[in-house]
Amino acid sequence: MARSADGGRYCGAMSSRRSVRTALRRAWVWIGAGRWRQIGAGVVAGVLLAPVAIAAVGGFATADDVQAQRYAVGQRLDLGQVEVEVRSTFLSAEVQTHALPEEASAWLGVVVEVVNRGDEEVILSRDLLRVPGLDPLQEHPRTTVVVSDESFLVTLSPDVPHEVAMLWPLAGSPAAQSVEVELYPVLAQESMLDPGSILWQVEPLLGVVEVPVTDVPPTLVDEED
Amino acid sequence: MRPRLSLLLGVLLVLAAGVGVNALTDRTEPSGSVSTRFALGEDVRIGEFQVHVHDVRAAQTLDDDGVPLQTSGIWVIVDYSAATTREPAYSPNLGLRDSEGRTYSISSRSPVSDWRVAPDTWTRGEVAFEVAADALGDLTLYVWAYPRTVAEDVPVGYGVTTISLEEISADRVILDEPELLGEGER
Repeated sequence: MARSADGGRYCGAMSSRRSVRTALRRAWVWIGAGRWRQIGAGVVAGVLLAPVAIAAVGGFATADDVQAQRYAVGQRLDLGQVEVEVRSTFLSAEVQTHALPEEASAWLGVVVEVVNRGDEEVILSRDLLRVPGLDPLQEHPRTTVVVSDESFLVTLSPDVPHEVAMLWPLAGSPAAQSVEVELYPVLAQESMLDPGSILWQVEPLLGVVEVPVTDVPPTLVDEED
Repeated sequence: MRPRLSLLLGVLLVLAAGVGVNALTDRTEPSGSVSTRFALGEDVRIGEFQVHVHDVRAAQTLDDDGVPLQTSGIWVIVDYSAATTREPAYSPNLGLRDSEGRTYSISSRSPVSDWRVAPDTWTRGEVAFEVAADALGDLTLYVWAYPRTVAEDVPVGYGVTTISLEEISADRVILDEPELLGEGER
């Protein structure tokens, strides 16, 4: 310190470089003195170098847009809990009129055949299909009715196919020609907290079906009073 | 030495208590099969329930207040009476299992699904199961005194009988609403 205080700029730079080198050497000796210190230093070095390695192999590059798999209308698809065949869609305020929420102006109905291929009955998941393109008032269908008789379908017996309409309430009255229906597999998982009981886990988007909007099945149209 | 011996003694006491409790529960808790076999047309006691199954039949179409309830499978209709032994309750849980091992509960579409029953006061009604189109033949009917998830996880009593069912009614079937029975009636 005394030399740098009365010496020139050159001497000061030399001195600080030397002190840095000395500090590094001391640190190196300190790290090398114990096994745990060596391991700790290795971990710290790994953490600091990891982003560099990720960047080197292009890990921070922007991902390409994921293109959803497209499926055809009428194609039978295994969504885990049930097999589903998306058949048609309709827009109407003349079905389930008593159940239409006040803030809604119409239902979007998605007509599908569902069948449970398991050995046990299941409560039909509300997560299987979504229709974000028409901006419904809720993400999940509000109700599911059997097309042939308008009875509510809650549970699905094994190997008994049902043609049902899943209904979403809409605020506006979109004049859509077709609807993109998103498909989400729902898989069984055993509960860790309650062994033996099943939890249904929603998986990421499997794909979409572009479904034309057609007429309401006549059996679903409410009779006028 | 003395503190170490006390510690060892404490550990041994805890182990001994555990072995004792295990031996006791092995002797006092039921294990293995606790099913009660019964036949159609006879009274059977299952837990807190008394049950009498009259008949089981099959139909293609049910009638729900004038609306035909169709199915791509088959409706299996169980005609039964029930009472309890001590306290009022809802009727017991019924289940059907076919020869393929597929298990069915009373359909959520069944116009009648359950009713209140009371001690020694019998009520008779009909419920419907929606089974696969190829499920008929030998069917096993279960009567569970508890919800099924409980009944199959722990050894609690349940009733069981075997039914042979082949014929399917072509008529549209109206389920019998629950009816309170007179003394001695089933």
